[in-house]
Amino acid sequence: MTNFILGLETSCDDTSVALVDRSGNVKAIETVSQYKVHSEFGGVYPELASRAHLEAILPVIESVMGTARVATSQLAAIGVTRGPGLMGSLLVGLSTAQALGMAWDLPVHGINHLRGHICSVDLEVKRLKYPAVVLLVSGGHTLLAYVPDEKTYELMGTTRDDSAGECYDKVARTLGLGMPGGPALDRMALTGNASIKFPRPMINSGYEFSFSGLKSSVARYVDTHEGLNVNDVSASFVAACIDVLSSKVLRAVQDKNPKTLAVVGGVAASPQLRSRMQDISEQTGVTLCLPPIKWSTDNAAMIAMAAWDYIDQGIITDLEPRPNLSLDQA
Amino acid sequence: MTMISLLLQNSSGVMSVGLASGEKLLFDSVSDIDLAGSRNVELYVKAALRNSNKTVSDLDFIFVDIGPGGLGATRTTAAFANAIGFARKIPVIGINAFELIGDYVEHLERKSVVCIRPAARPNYYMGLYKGQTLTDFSFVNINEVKSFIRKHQDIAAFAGKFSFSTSTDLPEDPWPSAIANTTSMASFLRVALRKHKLGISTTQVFPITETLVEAVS
Ligand SMILES: [Zn+2]
Repeated sequence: MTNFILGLETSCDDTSVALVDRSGNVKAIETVSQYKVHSEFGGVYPELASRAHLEAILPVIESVMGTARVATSQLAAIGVTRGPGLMGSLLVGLSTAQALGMAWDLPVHGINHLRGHICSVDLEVKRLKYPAVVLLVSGGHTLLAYVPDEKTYELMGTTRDDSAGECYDKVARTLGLGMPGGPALDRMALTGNASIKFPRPMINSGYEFSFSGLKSSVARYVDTHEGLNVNDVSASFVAACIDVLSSKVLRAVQDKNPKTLAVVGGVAASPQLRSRMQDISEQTGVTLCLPPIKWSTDNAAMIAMAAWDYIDQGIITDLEPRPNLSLDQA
Repeated sequence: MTMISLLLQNSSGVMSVGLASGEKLLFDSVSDIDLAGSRNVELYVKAALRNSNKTVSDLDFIFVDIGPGGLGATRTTAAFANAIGFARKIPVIGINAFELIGDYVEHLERKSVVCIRPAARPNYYMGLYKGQTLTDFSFVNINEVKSFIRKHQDIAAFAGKFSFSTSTDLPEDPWPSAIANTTSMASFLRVALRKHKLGISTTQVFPITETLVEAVS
């Protein structure tokens, strides 16, 4: 029985391997974070990331297959991220997948990481009802997608500069909160007062995002104010960020009238964002869908899940790395 | 049983692949015009197997050029080789690119060979290949490269890739030019068989360029 797809995800700084069956059940998953490798540099360094993927990927595959007691004869295919992401990191995953496909005589599907994020909503439990609006917010991406049916992915808007998660991390660093900064910033914000009026870039226009102005405005504020209250600055920044995200989500929901609103990506862990999305759901009647955070952050289960979709829909892709792949391309 | 070896070279940025049965070369990608210009490792390996009437399960050993050289290209080949080795449970053995081009040029010129390739700017890798052995392999700055070249200019041939762009880098005497920056598959096989005879056996390889990290001032 060919029951599983082996998913490989190496687009950024985590090496992730998963086995997912046709119904979206995750038989096994293991994700090796490069957090330690990168934390001393204060960011993701492409060369280090790529090297770490090369060291990690085969041991992780061996461990996942071993733990799950899945033999290669039980694999239907391999799904591997082909973009967007860091060139050197994508190459390691793609090259590994190609070789395994050849040696085990399995088809290999190159998967769009962004579509993987959207497919993650249906891991373990079928949650997405069409049409859907999906907000993807993480360190790597900020985008709004309209998904009218299981075949169609429309990009409504994405960021023109930094992602929301990047902005969180940079502001956290400015405030000396360390890395990754998101959770620390959210915690500080909970007991702060959002009294500082930071800009809300492009809040009233379209579905595009821009966060670099907000980031520099916080940096300027920190530079020019002595003895500032970190909780208040955090709360004011988070409020600005969430205001921008939620105003666009509300507009998208009113515009598209979807059945579900799904929020995915690392920033979906933010309690402030979650509660605001709940408000939108109550206000508009759209069903809110917040999958477990473990499926929201980068992981290989979502890539395997998307690979099942590619097979169903007969989507054929090549295995060339596409660092700038966009949502509307497979 | 004669051993079937797959040979993968990529650190110069130009891929070439060979397949050998014992000491006999069955396939050399240089002679396959359909592959010219392609950078897809799988295409090369498939062509090597198909042209030699072999399958991936016939492979006994994989020998891989692990640089120093183009990091992206070397890493791509290393990832591919490691995964084939993992899936087929066969050894994957890395070979320093300077041993490969050194052997090739030593064979041609009957001289020792100074090998030089650029590393992360502004540094270089260099080494001396003499009597089938690589010595003085190091990660150095431009001044050390210059004095190494001056020291060996009269007695050695040169291999690799080096060009020093600014005029202040130029020494009084003219730079020698490199004879080759890639090896022939015949030469690759010779080096691989020597490694095999020494009993060197590993299951994964990593590009050399990334393991030498000492800073050069
Ligand atoms: Zn992602």
